[in-house]
Amino acid sequence: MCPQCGSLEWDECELSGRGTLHSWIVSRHPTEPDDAARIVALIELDEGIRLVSNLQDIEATAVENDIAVEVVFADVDGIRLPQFRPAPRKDG
Amino acid sequence: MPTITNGAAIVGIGQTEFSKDSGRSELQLCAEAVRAAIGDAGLEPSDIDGCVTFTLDTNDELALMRSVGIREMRWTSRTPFGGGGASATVEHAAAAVISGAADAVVVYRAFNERSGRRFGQPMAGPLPPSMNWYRPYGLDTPAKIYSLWFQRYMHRYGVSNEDFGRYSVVARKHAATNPNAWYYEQPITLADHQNSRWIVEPILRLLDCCQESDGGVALVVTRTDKAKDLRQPVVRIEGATQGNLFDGDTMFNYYGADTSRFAEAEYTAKQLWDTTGLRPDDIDVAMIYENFSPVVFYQLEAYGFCGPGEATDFIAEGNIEIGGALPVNTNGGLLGEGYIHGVNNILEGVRQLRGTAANQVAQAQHVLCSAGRSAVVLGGGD
Repeated sequence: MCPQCGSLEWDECELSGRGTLHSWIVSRHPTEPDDAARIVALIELDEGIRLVSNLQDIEATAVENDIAVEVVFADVDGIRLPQFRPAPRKDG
Repeated sequence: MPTITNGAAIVGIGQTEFSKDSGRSELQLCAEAVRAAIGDAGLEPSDIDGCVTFTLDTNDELALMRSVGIREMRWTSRTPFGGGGASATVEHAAAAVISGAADAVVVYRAFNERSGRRFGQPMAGPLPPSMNWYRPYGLDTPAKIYSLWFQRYMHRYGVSNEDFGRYSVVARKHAATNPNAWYYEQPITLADHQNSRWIVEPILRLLDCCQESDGGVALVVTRTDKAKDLRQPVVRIEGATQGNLFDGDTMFNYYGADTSRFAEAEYTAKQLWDTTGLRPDDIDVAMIYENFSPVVFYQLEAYGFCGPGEATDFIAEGNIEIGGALPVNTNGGLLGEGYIHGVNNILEGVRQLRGTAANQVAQAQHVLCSAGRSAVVLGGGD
């Protein structure tokens, strides 16, 4: 239910897929579905929404908070999930 | 808006030993702790007519009655959200006795959390639907879930894992002189902390994490006017409240405006200061729920014991040790004494006010027992 208006209607809207890295961890615990180390990230989308995802294409030692990221979609353990990777800021 | 203020008191405390393998059922642990608490108060099981525990506790109210010999119960309630609700149990009990819904309420929490289902392990079995937003990305343990919150705090204020370690050293120092603690006579150094393995890099090492423990604890709440006729010194519930905020989660927060602060604890603190008339300087001992060491940092700041971002220095300067300005987790806390889901910290608060704590703070009059999103202030004497 929408907490603003109480509506039960659903809608879809396309987001930019761009945002920044709010916080992150290295996830190493050797358990399913997390066999290999990966970076778990809290992404702040440009639209103001935060969501948990993963950060790809970057070494943990190079990660910094608030870097620009962009979405890619990938299969993770058989599930299609949004993932993020570093992105150059085009809008300066 | 008023919170629960005065009118109720903790009159009995009881517990089992804290171990890694109790060798008996959770119900037996529960019954032993409840019986001990009732006896400590100088009451009989037949005097108890209410009980409060966690939604997560496996011990059924009727099974407890049958085991302990409680004849008639007219109040039962449970608090949600795991350890964040630890202090809410006392609020429930106080509300029950002040309203007249019950005369004497026993609060209990008992589990085999090390030899049975371990909270620190990857989550298994049915999970709440909200975990669908976390689990597929690898957030499968509390350490990881909380670390994703802590990392923003570290970034915002330039805090390192070594800074967190200074809390762990204090917790283990307090536990080392508390015979009730699992880590009795086992202090650690900061080097020990820094040499312990990463649990979640670069946030938490092993020695930042609370224990997994087997054990049971219980306490008895009744009206203050009745408490005066009982066996123990009166420990008044001066204030009790909860802080549940929109878009929150159990204790961590990914969606609030400022994730380097603990909005739920700030709300709880404001309620308590406003309604008790007390201020941070009035608190003699703070018992602060810490499933992981950083949660102490957030709460020290939320209650105004120090400013935002200042917990690192506040701890490094020795303020939270016995003899410091604000002794914290004098029993060793959940890292040092044991993890009975935070309720063992409330028992320590009672001991401080009775003057019977292993690491006694001289003339303690006001003790804060904060579990993040629920908290009580306990007061001694009259």
